[in-house]
Amino acid sequence: MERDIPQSALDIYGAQSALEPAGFGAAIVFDLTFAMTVAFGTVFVGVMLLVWLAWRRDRPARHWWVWSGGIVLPVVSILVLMVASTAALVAMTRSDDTALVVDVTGHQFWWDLVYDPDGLAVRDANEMVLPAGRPVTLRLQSADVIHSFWVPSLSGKMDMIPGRVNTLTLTATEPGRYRGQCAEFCGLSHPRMAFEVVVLEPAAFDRWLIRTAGEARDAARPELLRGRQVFIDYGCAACHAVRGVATGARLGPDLTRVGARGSLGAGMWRMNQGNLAGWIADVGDMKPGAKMPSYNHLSGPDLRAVSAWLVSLK
Amino acid sequence: MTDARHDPPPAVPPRSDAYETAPKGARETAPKGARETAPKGARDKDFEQVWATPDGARALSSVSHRVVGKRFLITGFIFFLIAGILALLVRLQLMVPENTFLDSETYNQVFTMHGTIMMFLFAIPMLEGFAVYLIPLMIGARDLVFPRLGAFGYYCYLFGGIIVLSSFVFDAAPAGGWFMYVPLSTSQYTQGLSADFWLIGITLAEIASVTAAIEIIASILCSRAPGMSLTRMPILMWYLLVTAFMIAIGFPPLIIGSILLEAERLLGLPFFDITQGGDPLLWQHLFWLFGHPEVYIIFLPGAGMVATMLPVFVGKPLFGYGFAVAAVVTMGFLSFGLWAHHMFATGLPILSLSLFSAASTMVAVPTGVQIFCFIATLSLARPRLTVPMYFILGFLFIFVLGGLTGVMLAAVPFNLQAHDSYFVVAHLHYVLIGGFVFPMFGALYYWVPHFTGRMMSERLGKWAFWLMFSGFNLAFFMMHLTGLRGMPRRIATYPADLGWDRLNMLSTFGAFVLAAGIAVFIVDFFRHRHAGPKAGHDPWGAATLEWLHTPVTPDYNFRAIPEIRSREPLWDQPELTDRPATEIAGALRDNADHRRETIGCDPVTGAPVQILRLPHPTWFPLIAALGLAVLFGATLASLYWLSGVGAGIALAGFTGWVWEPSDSGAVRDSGIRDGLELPVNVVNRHSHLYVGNMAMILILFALFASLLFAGMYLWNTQPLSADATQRPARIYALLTLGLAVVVFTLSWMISRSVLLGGPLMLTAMLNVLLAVIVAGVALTLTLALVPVDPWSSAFAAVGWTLAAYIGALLAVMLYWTLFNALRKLVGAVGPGQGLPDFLLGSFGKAAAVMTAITAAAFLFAGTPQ
Amino acid sequence: MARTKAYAVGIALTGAALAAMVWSAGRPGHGMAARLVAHLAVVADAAFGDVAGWLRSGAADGQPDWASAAQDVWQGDADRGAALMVHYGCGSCHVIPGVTGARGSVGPGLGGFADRAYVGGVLPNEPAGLVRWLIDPPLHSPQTAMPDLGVDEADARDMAAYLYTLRGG
Repeated sequence: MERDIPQSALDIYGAQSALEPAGFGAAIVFDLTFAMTVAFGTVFVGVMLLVWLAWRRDRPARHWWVWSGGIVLPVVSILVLMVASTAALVAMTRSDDTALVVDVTGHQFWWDLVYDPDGLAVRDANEMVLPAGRPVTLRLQSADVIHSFWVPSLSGKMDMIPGRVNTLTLTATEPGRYRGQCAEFCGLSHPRMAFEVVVLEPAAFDRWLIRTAGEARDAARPELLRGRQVFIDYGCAACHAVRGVATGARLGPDLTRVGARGSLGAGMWRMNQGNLAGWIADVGDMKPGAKMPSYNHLSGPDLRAVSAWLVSLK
Repeated sequence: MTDARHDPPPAVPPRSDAYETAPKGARETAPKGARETAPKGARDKDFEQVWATPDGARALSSVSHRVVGKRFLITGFIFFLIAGILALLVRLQLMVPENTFLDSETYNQVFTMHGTIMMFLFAIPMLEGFAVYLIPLMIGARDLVFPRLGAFGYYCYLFGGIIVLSSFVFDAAPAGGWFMYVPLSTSQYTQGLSADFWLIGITLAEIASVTAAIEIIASILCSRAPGMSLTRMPILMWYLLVTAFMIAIGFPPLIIGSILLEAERLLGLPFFDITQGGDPLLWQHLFWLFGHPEVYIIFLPGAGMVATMLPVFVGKPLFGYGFAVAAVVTMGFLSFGLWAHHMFATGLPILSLSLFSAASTMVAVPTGVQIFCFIATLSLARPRLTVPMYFILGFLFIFVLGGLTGVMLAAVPFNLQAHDSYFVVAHLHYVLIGGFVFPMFGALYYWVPHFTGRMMSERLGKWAFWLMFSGFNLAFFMMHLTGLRGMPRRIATYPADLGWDRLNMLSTFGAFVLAAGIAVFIVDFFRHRHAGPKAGHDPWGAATLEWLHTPVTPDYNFRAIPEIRSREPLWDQPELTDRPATEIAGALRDNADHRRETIGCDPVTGAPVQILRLPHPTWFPLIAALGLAVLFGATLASLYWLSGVGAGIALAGFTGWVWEPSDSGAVRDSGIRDGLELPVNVVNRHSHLYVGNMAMILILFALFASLLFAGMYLWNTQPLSADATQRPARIYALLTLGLAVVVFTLSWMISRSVLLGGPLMLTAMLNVLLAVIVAGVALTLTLALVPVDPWSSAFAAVGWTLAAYIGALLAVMLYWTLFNALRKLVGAVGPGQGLPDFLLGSFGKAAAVMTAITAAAFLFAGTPQ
Repeated sequence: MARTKAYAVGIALTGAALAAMVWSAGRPGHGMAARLVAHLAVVADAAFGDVAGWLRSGAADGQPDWASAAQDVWQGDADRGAALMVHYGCGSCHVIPGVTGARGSVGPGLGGFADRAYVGGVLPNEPAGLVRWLIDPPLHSPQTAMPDLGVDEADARDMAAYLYTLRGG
């Protein structure tokens, strides 16, 4: 009985490459990139050829060389480039009133998400779920230092700057999993501030949103009750909210559906009970600089219980 | 066989009108009071001894440009090696995914220091070293016009660099990136001293850059050989002149930004705190207003060195000299309009995005013109493939590729994917290593015979080149793909199997090959000192004046300063090459006063207008720099009493430095044909000190403008907080404005008094009166700000900083006026020696204008509460 | 002649550099060629493993290798075991040589595991005990912090086989 174990990060996390576009913006930039590479590659080869020719010839150059090569050629190519890139930029940044709005707030070192903030106001963290084919307006903010939201397969990036709200409109075109990462140096665990985007068919997305807005699917089996009690007794609710169990805390990621996420620690480790237990017991070692303290004073059974309960919150 | 040296000298070309008469007023001024004779102990020295470099420990007091230039080059290269080792550490960590070679904290320190050292402690000082060493040699001068300033600048750089490096020893190396973005670098998110090491150490080292800019501008404009007009200057001088102006205007925004951030960390002033009307983007604007010109400041001298060496190896003059000059000047201006292309992802309005994008692509035009001038030069004859020529070809390959990826990055949609990814890392290394490091190695192979008198090895040089070229491309070419595959910058590690693993391993391998090439160069350098073939006269067949002597050139550069009639003097003027260099006819062969001196010229035409007296070796620049180092270091360590001691030492050093009055007022025979007599150190707009003073005033205005920019930016982006800030007391602001007008008038009167030859007593009284008024302005300015709490808002903090800046200018003026009055009182100056007052006049007018603008701003800023 | 040699060397080196760049752009584990190579690698590895095992088993002196036999896990695939450890998240708590990203310091490091006497401080370190432990740690040590991760017997055998390759740490 050969079970297929996921071998590589790509099987778990999905594409994280501007060269594998799955979004409207990324596709435009991919075409632009390809065209520019071909065009400027040709220019480069041409200039090197010119150097070689100049080396071998003994006939002196004329002024028109400099005029055409140094002025006319760059001006013409620049004009073409400017027209193409301005058109692309306008297409990419066109906003849409029917778009789904998601508030994304960057923290050191995780992502706070609120879907439809003026409506359902569904709070989640670190794994963003989006509908395919529908424009999404991300309102990007920061709670501390400058971060940057970047999912190369879907769109270009936009910085998250404290004190301002930057808007990024993106439209995912293909269902699947994609990985993004913070692209502005933000401190000790900047390399470990990633996230995943799951793109669903529109009907599936609607179902997901309604499901997530509700309370946590909590303690389905009696043996998980001990874990929920540990969560409350050890004060986890001071930072983490779980709808239906502990509400109001916004200092750390919302854990209502934490078990359903594909990854832990902001896109860094696979979501399973083993990693969860290791995280809770020693988060400072896994992600230096994270604000969550290491709960290494939990007893063995308590650690097993709370990690089992959390991974059951699907 | 006839020896051409014994033939009669060739016919003297007809005299140009520029030399007809001595400047007006020169003969009439009596030499009374002028120092006619040498300082104590120098009276019996002959010419060679006057110019000799002191030996042993006293060599530290040498201010000669050759010594200071070599110091910059050697120290800069050592920092290059240190930063290079840090780069190898980075690459080792990134060689495999999930590596544990360096932990996160250490990695962040290593990449921050790599960038910081390369940009501030290697690139700029290295180009300064070349400039300081080569400028007098190429323009026909015996030294730079402000040798003590150059020596002072070097020591500031050395001490600043030591402060920055010492952060490793204290386990407080900066870890916020070389660009130190806020809020990450504010006191809230970076505790401890690491950011302060960066801010304080780099600011001290930057003093070297701005003093070098003043020196370069004044030397190139004022001390060229007779007949060397601006269009007859070697092309490298144009590159360096434009670079110096760019430094003068481009460094102040960073200096101001560093001061603001340090004030935030030390005093808690809320410049970047959004809860108090600050803005994190203010730092980015100030930083990139500096940061973009900075990379052109680094590139232009490299291109200038290519423009110098390439024609030599082709054997023909540079094609399109005029085109190249126009392109360089255009680039200098354009580079100040591009800075926001580093900020495309920060949410700028679409109009800004389009403007900066278009401007960024436009800069490809002057760059392309220069490249095509170089290519066209190659076609003029069959080039010789020497080791420097290899590096020039490497430059053409690598820099052009880097420039083209730069044009790609200027397109905003592409930039939004490539920004902060390894694509940018690839681009910046292509343009910096291709545009500066490769020409630098070519220049080192080219000019090392001038430093040491021996040639380096052709064979080892080719090995060094090919290892460097192939290693560089292996390391960085595929990084374009790594970035497009989604790998962000500044990450200590990355997950496996995202498609980045092999790319990173190849880059690491390439980096070590590149390092091997540099190692070969170092081996060759040390080997050639004792085993290299001796260089003959003009070993490369060059055209410019530094090769006049058989290497090594004597300390005085030119025994007599020849007249120049061509851009390629060694090719076109046989009287320079048909006899021993010490027998060439020219100016200042006599040395009656036993002083160091060179010829001063008209900035445009190059006609001789004065004799420039130059300082002899002195300890005061070192003392002043030491005082500043103690001041900066003690502030870093929070030992403020020691900071005061350091300030005192610096003040003593500066006072000793400027105490000796100039020799103005004397008139001497210049030795140019027909007994042309020239004044010594003229007291008018032709004076090199006037030009240097103007350059300094340019820098002061740039600093002031940066502060005004900060205030206007906050007023524009945080209007609620700015309008809610308490307005300064109007009555005192009005008083300040009025007193500023008085300062302006008094300064103007002082310089008129000097130019018209007024009595010393009058000027002294004006000095004292000006001192009193200046003190009054400082008082009214402070009283105007008393009702404003600098901690209440970022806008208020900027207001206080503006006032503090004006206060610093006023303090300098106070010192200067009293110093001038004192010297007259003790009889240390005579009539005709009015340069300090002449310069004070210009400085006072500039300070008055800045004070008036500040006072006017205070009249309307904020709201009274 | 020297010129031609120099050109030949130059072309060869350039070719090697370009080949290295093309290699670096490849994504291992994807595409048919890569799968073919991976399969060949598995076959070759198995063959080598047999030879190495035969050599290690001390065939020279004709005596059977009892120590290795004692730690031979029936139907255990060590390579699959290493991948399973990533799948179950063992590396968040244990340092495990040879498993990417396994740097946890919550539990003991597993370097040199094969040489230890006990598993979890309660069971003897032999295939049966190790497999039972991996399937349900709390059953054998009620106060342990190591959770029951729902490991089935086949996965436990594979992971045990991998652990027994860790010697001398």
